[in-house]
Amino acid sequence: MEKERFLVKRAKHGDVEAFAQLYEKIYQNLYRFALYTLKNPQDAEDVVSDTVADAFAQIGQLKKEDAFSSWMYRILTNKCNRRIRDYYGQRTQTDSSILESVEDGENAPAQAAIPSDSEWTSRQEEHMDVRDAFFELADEERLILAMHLFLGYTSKEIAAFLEMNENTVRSRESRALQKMGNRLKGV
Amino acid sequence: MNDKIKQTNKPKASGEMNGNAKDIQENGSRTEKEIEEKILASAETEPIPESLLPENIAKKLKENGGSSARHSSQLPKHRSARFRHMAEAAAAIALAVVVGGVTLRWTGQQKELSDSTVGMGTGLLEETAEREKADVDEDENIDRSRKEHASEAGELYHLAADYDEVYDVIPLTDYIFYEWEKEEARSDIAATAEADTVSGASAEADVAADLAEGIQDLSAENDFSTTNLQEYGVDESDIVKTDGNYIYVVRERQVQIVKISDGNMKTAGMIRPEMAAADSLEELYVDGDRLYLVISCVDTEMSSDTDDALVDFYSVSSDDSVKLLTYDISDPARAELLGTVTQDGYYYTSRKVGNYVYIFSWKDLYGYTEDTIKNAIPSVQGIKVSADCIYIPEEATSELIITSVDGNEPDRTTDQIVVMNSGASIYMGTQGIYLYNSRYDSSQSNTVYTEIAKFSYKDGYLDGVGAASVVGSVEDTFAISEKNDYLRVLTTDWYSSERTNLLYVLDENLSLCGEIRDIATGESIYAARYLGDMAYFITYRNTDPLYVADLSDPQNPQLLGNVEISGFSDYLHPYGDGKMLGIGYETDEDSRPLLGVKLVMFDTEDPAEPKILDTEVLSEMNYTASDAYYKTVMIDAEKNLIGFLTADYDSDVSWYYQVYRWDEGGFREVLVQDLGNEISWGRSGMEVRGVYVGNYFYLVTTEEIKSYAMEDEFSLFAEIALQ
Repeated sequence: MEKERFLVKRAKHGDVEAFAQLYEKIYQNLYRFALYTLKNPQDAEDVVSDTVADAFAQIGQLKKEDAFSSWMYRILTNKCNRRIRDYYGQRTQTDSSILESVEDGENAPAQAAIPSDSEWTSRQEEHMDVRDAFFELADEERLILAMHLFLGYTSKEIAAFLEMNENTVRSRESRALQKMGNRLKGV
Repeated sequence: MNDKIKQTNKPKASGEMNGNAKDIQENGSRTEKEIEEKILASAETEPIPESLLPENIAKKLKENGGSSARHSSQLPKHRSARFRHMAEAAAAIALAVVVGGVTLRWTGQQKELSDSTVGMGTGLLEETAEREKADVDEDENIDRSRKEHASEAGELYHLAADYDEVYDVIPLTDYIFYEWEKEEARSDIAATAEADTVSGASAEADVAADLAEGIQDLSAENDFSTTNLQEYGVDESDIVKTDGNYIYVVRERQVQIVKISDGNMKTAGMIRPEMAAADSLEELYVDGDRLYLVISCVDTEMSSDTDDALVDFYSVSSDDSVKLLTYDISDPARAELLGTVTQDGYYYTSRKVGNYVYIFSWKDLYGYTEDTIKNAIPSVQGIKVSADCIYIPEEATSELIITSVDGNEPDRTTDQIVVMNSGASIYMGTQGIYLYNSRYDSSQSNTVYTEIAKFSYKDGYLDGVGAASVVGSVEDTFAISEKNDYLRVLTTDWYSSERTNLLYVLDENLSLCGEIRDIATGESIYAARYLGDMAYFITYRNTDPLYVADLSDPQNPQLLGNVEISGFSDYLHPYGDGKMLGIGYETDEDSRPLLGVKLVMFDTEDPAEPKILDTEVLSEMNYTASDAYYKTVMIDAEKNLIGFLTADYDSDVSWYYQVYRWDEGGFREVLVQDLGNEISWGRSGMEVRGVYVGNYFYLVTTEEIKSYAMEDEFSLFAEIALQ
């Protein structure tokens, strides 16, 4: 943690190596979060790459020098959230009917490109099933779970981020996990 | 409030939870845990694209100029279209980060969205307004303020007519998932909050200002050091204080009072306040026979949420509050509690002027629904703050609760106000409390503004005074300072085509008096200090110029001169007559890596022609806490002491407290105390303080106090373990 402050200090003055060291500690989390939220490896790669470029360009503004990870997570989460929104085109309505349809997984992003089966053959079947079950969740469910699992957000933080009630976050998270449980049982 | 704490601290869970529900919950969470682990395991098998590997990222950043935001205007022009796009996105985010709140102006489609939200929120409110009003009116637990508050603070805030008007500015949490604009706004707030932790306020300038003007220095008179303050005459709480006879140290669950006498130390007393397990001691003040202690409290409440039949679970929510405990310490062995004041919110900072302690706490306004919005009104002493104490802007996502407590009446507040906003930094001068935050306005040609609101605090009474909006953002804690009713503000404008710096002089109502624009184009402000009518500031790009500006004519401030030196200072401290000390870093002018901590003494005798007297590069040290944690600094020109915290982190981290003297035109090292690999971090940053009393220097950590004989080459004299 102390080291992180120094690295941030150096990165603020343009030291790429220092920035890369900070990044090294979290890049797997960043990518996994993006992939599991966006369901698409290319989008995930882009969004992490954008996050890095943005973060490096504006690290001078990061005042709290021990908050690098959470700051990166916030940039990435914003980007992923925005991208999910972009999947829905220019739709700007926010009324509940749309939200419900989102919930139900209709209007899903134009079939996000999931890697073809052959790419995954070397991997254990269960992992694929788990990933597939996860990808079947609604966007919001994936976002909540991924924020929690890959970035370590608490439900309170997720609630604040999504402007939801903390209890609602918990119940949605719980319900998403149950959905996955049911799907995995059925496999 | 006390009643509430008693009630809610009782764990209802074990007693009242029925066995069935408990089983379901445990079963549920066990399978949930398993599924979570499966998800993590599956994710671990995902191959990570090569382009994202750290070494490739580093390569890419180097190719793209290897330049952080502070230098982004130097990015090579031949960037690819893609990278340019990324940089634009970066700018957008950066803007968002700086902006103080959600009251952003969006254009086009986005604006429509934001309007529809506001509309919706209002509608919901109207539905419940009548019911709320009835509740509220019957509620006797509302503080009717003793005194009428001024109706506004300029154009930024006005006093609420009633609670309904307060509710109107709070965005309701409903199910508004796809409004990412809000999330952006939120990241701004978080970032502003971060900024707050560092750039609370500024003003130490006048410590020196007053020195320079012949006002007697407190420490000279009593021959002991004070906390390194932002503003002379405006005390700041800290984890260590001395009154010349005792050193008072805040520990985890107690305050240890150590009697000091010519370097000898002996524990004279302990103050152990009643605390719940989750409470924590923050900081204290000592003034004569009074000791003021700030405690953060977390009131945890467990409740069952059964509106969802699928999952019956128990949620834990917590409410923060802050307590100010006032003790009589005329007998340090038997400190007597005189009074307690409690207010909602989490502790942000405090100040003390004369007999009055001012406590600032924040409360977030997220997650309220039409049913719960009345809980957004904060309480002081367990009583809801009345609407005529609440200053509201157009929209707010947090609220700042400010109370004043008279040390002679320590069991009540003299006054309180609530300022609703979306995050702000605080500077308190001898005349006013200033809240400032930056705001990005995209409709105004990509400019960042700093909004400043002034509140007066005469005799503990808090009132709105005025407001202003200036171009640029405040980049250094010490860049804003009040003197003789004038507020001086140095800002950096990051977002114009070329970065530039500005200096403003505002009058007592925050109307603009004078300004200097286009200072050090292409550079940004790293450190600032005001001394009397002069402003001193460091800008940096490749070199470290010290600028001097004369503000004696508020209508017509003048840039006088500057002197350049390699590296940069990010902390400035006046050092006696005509000298300004800078603490910062030496850098390589071309590649910009930090080459070590650097001290530099500027001669400012002739402000038109500042000169460099000496520099000292501590090449083995590559970090100093002086900038971010100025309370670790102990500088006293009359005692000829320059104490600060450094670290060497090349392989492992090693911490040092170093003391220098200024002798015959040069720096002389007198103490390097190795503090080991770990030092304690608290909310006030690194918990190491240097203190002097008479001829002895005391170094206080969370473990122990060491004393050194200053007249005997700083030899270690004695030490005492802290409990």
